[in-house]
Amino acid sequence: MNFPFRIAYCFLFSFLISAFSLNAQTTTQVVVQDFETWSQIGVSKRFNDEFKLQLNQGLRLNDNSSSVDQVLTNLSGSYQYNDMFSFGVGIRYIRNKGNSSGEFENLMRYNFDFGVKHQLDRFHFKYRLRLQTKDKIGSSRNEGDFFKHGQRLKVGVRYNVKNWKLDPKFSTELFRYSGRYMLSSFEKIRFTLGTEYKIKKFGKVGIFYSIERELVGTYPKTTNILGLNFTYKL
Amino acid sequence: MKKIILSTLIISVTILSCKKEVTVTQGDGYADWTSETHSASSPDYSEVFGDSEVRRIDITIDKAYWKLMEKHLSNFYSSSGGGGGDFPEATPIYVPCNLEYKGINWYNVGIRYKGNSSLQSAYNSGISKLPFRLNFDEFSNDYPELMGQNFYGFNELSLSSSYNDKSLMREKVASDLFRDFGVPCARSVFCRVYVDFGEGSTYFGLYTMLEVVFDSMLENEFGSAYGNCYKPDGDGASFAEGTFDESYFENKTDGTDWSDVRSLYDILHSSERTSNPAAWRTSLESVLDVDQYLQYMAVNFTIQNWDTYGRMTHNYYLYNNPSDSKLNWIPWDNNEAFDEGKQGGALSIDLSDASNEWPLLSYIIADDTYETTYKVHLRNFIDNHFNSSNMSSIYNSYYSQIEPYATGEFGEVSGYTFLNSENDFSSALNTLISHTSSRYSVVDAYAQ
Repeated sequence: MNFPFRIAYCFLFSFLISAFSLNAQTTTQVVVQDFETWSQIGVSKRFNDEFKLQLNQGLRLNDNSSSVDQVLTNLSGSYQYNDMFSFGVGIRYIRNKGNSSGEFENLMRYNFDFGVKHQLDRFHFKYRLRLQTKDKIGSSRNEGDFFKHGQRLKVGVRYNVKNWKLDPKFSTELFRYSGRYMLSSFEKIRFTLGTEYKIKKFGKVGIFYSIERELVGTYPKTTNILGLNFTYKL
Repeated sequence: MKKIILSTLIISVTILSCKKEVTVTQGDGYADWTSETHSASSPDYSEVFGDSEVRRIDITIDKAYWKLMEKHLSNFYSSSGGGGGDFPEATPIYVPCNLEYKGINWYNVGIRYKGNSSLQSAYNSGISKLPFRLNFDEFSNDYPELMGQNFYGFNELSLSSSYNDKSLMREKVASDLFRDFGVPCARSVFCRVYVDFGEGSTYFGLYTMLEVVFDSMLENEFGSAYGNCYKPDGDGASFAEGTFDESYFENKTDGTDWSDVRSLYDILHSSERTSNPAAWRTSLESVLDVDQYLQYMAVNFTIQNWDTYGRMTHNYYLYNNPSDSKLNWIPWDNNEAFDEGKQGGALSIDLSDASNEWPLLSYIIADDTYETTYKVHLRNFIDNHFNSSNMSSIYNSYYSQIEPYATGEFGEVSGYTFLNSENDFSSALNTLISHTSSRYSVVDAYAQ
């Protein structure tokens, strides 16, 4: 066997050995980061200074924004009690891609919000406590389906830039989940930077970028979200 | 310039935001993980189910999870009014535990309660020796490095609590007898179970550890596990006329096809049974391994295993063996065998008391050909297996093996035992031995 053949043979042998060695241990791929896009269009109707109703249709793409993750329809109402306090309720239908199976499941989510806002110079602070519960449609308690409750605390600030329509907004939201037969835990935190552009008479367009980080598990996932929404004012 | 900066920023953020995956190696970071113990490709029966010794497992459950299990059990029985019913298997109340065996640890193993009367009755009477199910891969979604974790090749194991069995050996002996006589049945072994739920290690008692039918048993007995494997439960499981519904036949394997059990039901109730018995038998034998079923009947009604088909609409599996496309009968939950029984008691050996509500007994025994074969199997069973000499030897051998862990210094303790006194255990042995001789006489007289 001449020298070049010997070298080639050694390479081939080494490759086969390493390939078999790799196969001896089972490995699995775990997604630790993803890029999602969330888009939403909707209509809103303000009845007076206190009451507002909103209907939205949303689409969320995951897997580098190449695959449908959620389709949702959201109906919400809010009541501005005074300059500082507000209350809100919402109901959301979610068609959601299951995590492990990849099959779509249908869920309903109900939420109640309590909001506080105040202003400090050009800073507008907002705090929101959201209590929500989620339930899979068509699945019974005997099948192991119980309400999953969420408690979400959001702290946000908007800076009113002089002579500039695109005020920057920043918020942080902490998600805690509990259920009848699960231990409650803080599961994720979301940081959002965004802005809104108000179109006179028509409504507003919003854009945001969020980083969502899981707080549980050995391989917590980070989700980067680019969001775009348009709300038409009735 | 601004455009360039903005474009660069957007491109950078987009690139940095993209999907990322990491490769996780099985068992990574878990000190005791080996391919032989934690991810074996085939079950090691001699290690787990060899009869040479009583096994010991130590389970550690976080106190918060233990409370969750207790809460679930309490809520389930209070919501069902204390009534019966299968404990809902789909309920997501598997909790993680650590399992230690021979100094080796298995990590975040799923554990849950299981069972019907054995669970409910023990729970209601305040006895904490409750049956469990273990699933070694249950939490691999949360812990990807535990993907495929098993116990010497077994993904799941069942821990039977020997409810209503003061001998602590009925489950084991019954499953041994079925298998020795050619009836597919889960393997079992005696196992001491210690649980630490935040208050130190507590001896929960001597259990019978069994393999799970649709996990390892099918492959081992039939050489395949991809045929339909039903766990019938409820009215339809009786096969009585007018009761058939697919919902009574939970498929533990692929879950897409009920045509085989539907055929069994249709043939069973066909008018051919009385008009042309030979043709009926041919049809029946095309969907059910009848000879194997008659073997099962011979064992089951000799040992008076009453808590199953004939009295109860559960405690058996049906497996469609892909090699011949016939359903095979697999007995399950045999801890109340060797007894006159409750709920009307064990059926007589000639099955004269089996009503048409149980057509797989009444129609079969009404057929002369099948009755003759049944008798042949009965004769074979008592001559070669269930006779005083053989059974006394088995009972005494198991008694010696488990006695140190049933009574005495290392025996079961109050609150975690069905024994009221040490004498209960020794009396139970004598009861089993005399049961053999009385049943031998009954079968001997019938199977002439």
